[in-house]
Amino acid sequence: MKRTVRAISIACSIALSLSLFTACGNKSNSGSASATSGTDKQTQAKNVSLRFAWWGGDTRHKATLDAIDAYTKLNPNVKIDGEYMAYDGYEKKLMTQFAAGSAPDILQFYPSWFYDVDSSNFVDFNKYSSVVDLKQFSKSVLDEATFKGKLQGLSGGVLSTTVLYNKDFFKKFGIPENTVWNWDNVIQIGKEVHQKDSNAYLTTGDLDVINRLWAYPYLSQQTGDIWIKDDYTMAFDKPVLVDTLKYIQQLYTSGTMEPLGTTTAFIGKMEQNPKWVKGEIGMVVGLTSSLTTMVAANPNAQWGVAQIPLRSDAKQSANPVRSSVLISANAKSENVDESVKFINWFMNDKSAALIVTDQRGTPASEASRKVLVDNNKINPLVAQAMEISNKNPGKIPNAPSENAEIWQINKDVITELAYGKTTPEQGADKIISKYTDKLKELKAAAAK
Amino acid sequence: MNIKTSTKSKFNREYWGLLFILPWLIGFLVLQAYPLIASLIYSFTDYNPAKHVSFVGLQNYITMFTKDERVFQSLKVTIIYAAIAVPAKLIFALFIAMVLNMKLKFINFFRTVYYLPSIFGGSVAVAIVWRLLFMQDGLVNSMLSFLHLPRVDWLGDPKVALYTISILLVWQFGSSMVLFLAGLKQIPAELYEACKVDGGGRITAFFNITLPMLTPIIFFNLVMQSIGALQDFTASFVITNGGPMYATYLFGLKIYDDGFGLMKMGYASAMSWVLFIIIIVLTAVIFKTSDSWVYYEDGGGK
Repeated sequence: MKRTVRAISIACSIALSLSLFTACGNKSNSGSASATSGTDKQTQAKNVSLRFAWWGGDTRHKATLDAIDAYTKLNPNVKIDGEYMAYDGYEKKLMTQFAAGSAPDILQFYPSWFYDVDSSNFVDFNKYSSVVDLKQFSKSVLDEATFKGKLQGLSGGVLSTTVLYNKDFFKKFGIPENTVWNWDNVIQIGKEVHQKDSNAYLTTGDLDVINRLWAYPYLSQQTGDIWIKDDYTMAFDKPVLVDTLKYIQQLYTSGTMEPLGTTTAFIGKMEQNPKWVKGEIGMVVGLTSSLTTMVAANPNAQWGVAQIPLRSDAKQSANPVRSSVLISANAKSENVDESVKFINWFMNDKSAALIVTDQRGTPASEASRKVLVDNNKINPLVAQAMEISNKNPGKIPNAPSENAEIWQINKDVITELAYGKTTPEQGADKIISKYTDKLKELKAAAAK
Repeated sequence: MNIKTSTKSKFNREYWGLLFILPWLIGFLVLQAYPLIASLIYSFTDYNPAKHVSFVGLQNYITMFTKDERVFQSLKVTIIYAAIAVPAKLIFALFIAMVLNMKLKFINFFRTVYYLPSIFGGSVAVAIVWRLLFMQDGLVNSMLSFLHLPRVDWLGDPKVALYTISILLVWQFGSSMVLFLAGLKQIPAELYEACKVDGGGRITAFFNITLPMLTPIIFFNLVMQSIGALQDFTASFVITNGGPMYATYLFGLKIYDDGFGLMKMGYASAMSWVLFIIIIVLTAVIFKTSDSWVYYEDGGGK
């Protein structure tokens, strides 16, 4: 008797706890359902609530929130919640949300991440060409956002890599502003700067920056290729890699680059580095999309931009002009039509362009760019940097070249180099041996 | 007839009891039992939540111990971290508890203030403050140079960073302290009087009365804090991101990186289970040794 009672009780409690699940499930549905219910037959537009996730710095956050405000004033039935953060950790959060089925309706994305998420999660904008004005975008920009034949995002803007320098710092240390940087004079001048003032460094960079914006172009200018080929083999051989690692090592031993240990607190937010704010750093190699944030961190200084270091016999500049971010729509959202409508406004509308300006790089949409140029709204530094890069754009890296695990192998070796725990020779051996396994694994995973 | 009603009322009572514990039961089933079982199952798969899942047998466990060099590094770091931080925290908590056990003015105010760090402790905001305090140009180094002491690279030096992070854990001593304080209040005053009569000083009293009487609480704190320290994540995630050179790469962060960074949820689940087993073994060892050093006034139920 006792046993049956217990069995019944357990069954009851399980049933109850299950009903809790369904209650939760219903609730999340009914939340949006109640927002939309009852209005279908009426003439007024139905109320919808959308979530828009992006990463960026403060200036981008503000501009995007202002744009959302403007849109919701024009469309009072639409409510948009911004979910914004710094770059560090954004991808992890988003991937988890995809896995949990709670991804935002509208999201800022990055082309190489398409490999990590099932395509069924993304709206194919080709199917919405009546709502979204795709003619505003160039073919190369659309191609970059096309994955397995689906146009899974629209370019939020184009960017390139540039040198951003502090004019006051250059004056103080007697560095001519018209210096044409090649890799050697960076070290030569960097050494002099640090000898003159032990608190000052010519440049700084977190691990991501060293890997992506120093090691990558240094090597790729010699090979004329990207990092990993489409067939998952290395696009370089050992001597070039050793030479690259030697150069990275020199950046630290010569005192050109701020020691890695002090930059670890500012990964993905270099503008918060107190040395940068105090003007004790002369220049950074950075993306044009981060220029305004970097400049805003020290508004009293004068700023200039220059071509990234380029060797005289470079086979390519290794400075691609590419989409900074994509704006994608979640295909599993209940309000896809409203999401797409907003994205079209956000990308192509003149009033939107004037609010968002070049916060995600120079707009890729022809209409938006024209408005900004006409109104002098493009940050002159950004415009100048893009002009320099457009003269000699580099090859656009494929997804394997930007794979997180491949990058992690590089970053581990770079860290060991910066701390003097390994030699360029050993580091190169380590990278090559680890790539061999990892590339095999990635190739197998991609084939799945 | 009589029998029937009694079974009925018995049924009712049992049913009502279950109803009362239902909030806990649901929480346990949904938030603990289900994830526990699910993660065990996932640990035998290559589960990638954004894409696919297939059964791989023991492959995750084999990879962990044969291919992934970071596993041993982060296990080592985690154990050192617990070995530094837990004893330091308990000693510090006991010290503060003894100070707060004295008869001072405004003692309740002080007790509250000293408990505050534990309320903030685990949060990201405090970890960020920690980063700002200990960074190269941070407050701690400014104070050191003001005193003409050499600056220390608290977060950038692989030999130092783990200690810097451990201090954060020690600083969150509040909950252990409250337990110690309660324990101190329980010690009968006549024991101290007897000690005084026999000519024992304060140090004798501490080692022969206070410590032995507190052993059950030391035991409890040791177990709880060790478990907490082995599972710690926030400090290394927010302050150093596991760096420099994986010197602060706690196992919790390793699991997070593989699970959420590389989306290898199956592999991360397998690592969670290894950590779980380590914690169980360690706890069992502490329990086993407790027979020889923990003193229960009532004989400990024996």
